Amino acid sequence: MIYRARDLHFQYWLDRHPVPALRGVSLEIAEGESLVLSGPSGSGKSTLLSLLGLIEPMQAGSIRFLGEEVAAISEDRRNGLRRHEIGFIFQNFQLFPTLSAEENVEYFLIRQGIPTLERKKRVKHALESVGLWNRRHHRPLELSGGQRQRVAVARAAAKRPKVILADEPTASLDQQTGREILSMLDALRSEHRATLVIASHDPMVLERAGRIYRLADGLEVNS
Amino acid sequence: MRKLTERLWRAAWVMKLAARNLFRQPRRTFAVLLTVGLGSASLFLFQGFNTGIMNQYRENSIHARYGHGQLHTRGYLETVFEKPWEHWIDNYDEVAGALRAMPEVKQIFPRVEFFALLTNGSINVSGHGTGVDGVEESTFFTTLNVEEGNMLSSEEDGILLGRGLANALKLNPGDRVTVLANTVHGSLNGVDLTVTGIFHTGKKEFDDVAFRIPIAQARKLLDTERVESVAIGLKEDGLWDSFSRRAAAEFSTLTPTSFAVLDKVYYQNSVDWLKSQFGIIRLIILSIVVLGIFNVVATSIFERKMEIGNLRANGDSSMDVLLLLLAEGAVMGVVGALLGIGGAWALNTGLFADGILMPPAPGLTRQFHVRIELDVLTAVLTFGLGSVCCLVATLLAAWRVAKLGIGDALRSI
Repeated sequence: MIYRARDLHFQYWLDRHPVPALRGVSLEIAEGESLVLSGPSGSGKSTLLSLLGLIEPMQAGSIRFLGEEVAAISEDRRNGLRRHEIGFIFQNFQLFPTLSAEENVEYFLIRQGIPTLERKKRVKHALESVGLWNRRHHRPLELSGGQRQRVAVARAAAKRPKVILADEPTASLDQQTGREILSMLDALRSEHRATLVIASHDPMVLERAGRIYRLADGLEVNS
Repeated sequence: MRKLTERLWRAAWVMKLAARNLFRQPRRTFAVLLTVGLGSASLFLFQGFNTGIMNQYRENSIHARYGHGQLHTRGYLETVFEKPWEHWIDNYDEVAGALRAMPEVKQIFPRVEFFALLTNGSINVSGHGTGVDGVEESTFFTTLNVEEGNMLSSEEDGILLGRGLANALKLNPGDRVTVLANTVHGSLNGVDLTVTGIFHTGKKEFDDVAFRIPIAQARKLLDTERVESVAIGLKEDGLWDSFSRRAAAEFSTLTPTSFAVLDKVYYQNSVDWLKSQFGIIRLIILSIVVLGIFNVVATSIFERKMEIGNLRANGDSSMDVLLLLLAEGAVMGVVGALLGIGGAWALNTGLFADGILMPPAPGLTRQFHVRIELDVLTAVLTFGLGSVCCLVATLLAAWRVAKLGIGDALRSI
């Protein structure tokens, strides 16, 4: 198992009032699996994704990631795991507006310490995989929404992470483009044997899911 | 080696990203550059202006009155004597020979000072006279402002009068005046002299009493072969310390005193006062610059919370984010400070090339031009201050955002 999550609780604070987001969620995810966290808005799927991505601090419960107890590892180690083992794709793309498509993909590889030649190879391959090599010099503002999301996919894939976490990756796209993005994610998962976890309530995403983990009000409904 | 190369590559990318980020919000970047630039230019010009004033004070003090310093017998300046002339320098020729052999010395000016009564036949006014070597002094004391007639030079019976004294005696160049004084033996003596010129130094209380006569006439008037002091003109302003050490070793009975000590009330106090004032104004300018930059940078950084969240989500630490933002601050600081210093330099060679006309300073009676004196060291210091200000302001603005939780940063709009 790449993830073992047990009895996860998480709450946000709004005006000094606790708002529970997760109320005892347990989950296991196998290596190479394609899982969709599904549920209506406010069900806790994005929070669960954030916990799996080591983005939010643990409050209660336990997550084992790659055999390590997340609550017990240092901040440096968490940064390292996020840098090397986890690729993120966000609903709003989160590209650097001042960097070209090529530079956006390359940036996190530099942060990973990948040698130059290998880095250049990976960038080319990733952009070719999403069909944007010919647009590599374009900046995000010069690309359409779908193209930006493809750059974001290429960026996550080029890191060669063990897990790709995508939060509503199709929400800002039209159906056709959303479908293309999902196909690319599937292809990349197969190519790199990565685990893919998507938080989404888009029926098109659910259709293609290997497994669906349904949440409502911070609790698992059924899988 | 490979690790080092990769680290350098990474640092270069951080700088590249930082530099490009400056073009994201051109107006804000311009506002920061303007703040740093104006702050740096203000500091640079103000420091140059102060240096100009201090240099002018120094030049006035050296070339109008004291020379670079003076030699007196040991303890003479600190003590009030009943018969001061008994403590004057009695071996002047020997001292003059030794002084002229010193490498720092360009000119020497023997002097005697005395109180006297001046009369034009109908009006008597007391004055403070100085016996000087007119030929030597006319080539060195160039900032003594002779408004009528000429400097005292080779005239054997000439007298140069301060403006106030000449007015009181109603004298003009060419008029005759009698100077009466006690000799060192106590008897009354007098000499008849011709006014060669009228001067002012800008200090009213000095110009109201001061006059100069040839030292030979002064010695005759006082009936002494001694000189009270020897003013020194050096080859360069910076040679005083070296001269002072050499003179102290050479003359066991004489003490060298620099013009800054002789003119402490006018020169040294002014310099200390201006430096202190400049320190306060510098602090005010720097505070305004820091607050101005903080305001602009903080807004800009707060709008980039999601991007910062993305960086953190992909493994960057708070410190990595802080360094990126500081790199942006550093780029803006460096560019802004360079622009400010360059602009100030251009302004100074153009608009302020002739200096700035200033009203009379405290204790002075005349206006004067102050040149803004800019130099490389001040430019470097100002550049450093401008850049550091920008870094400090960025650090203050970036600290909170860099420390923000990743989830909170990503959720922000």
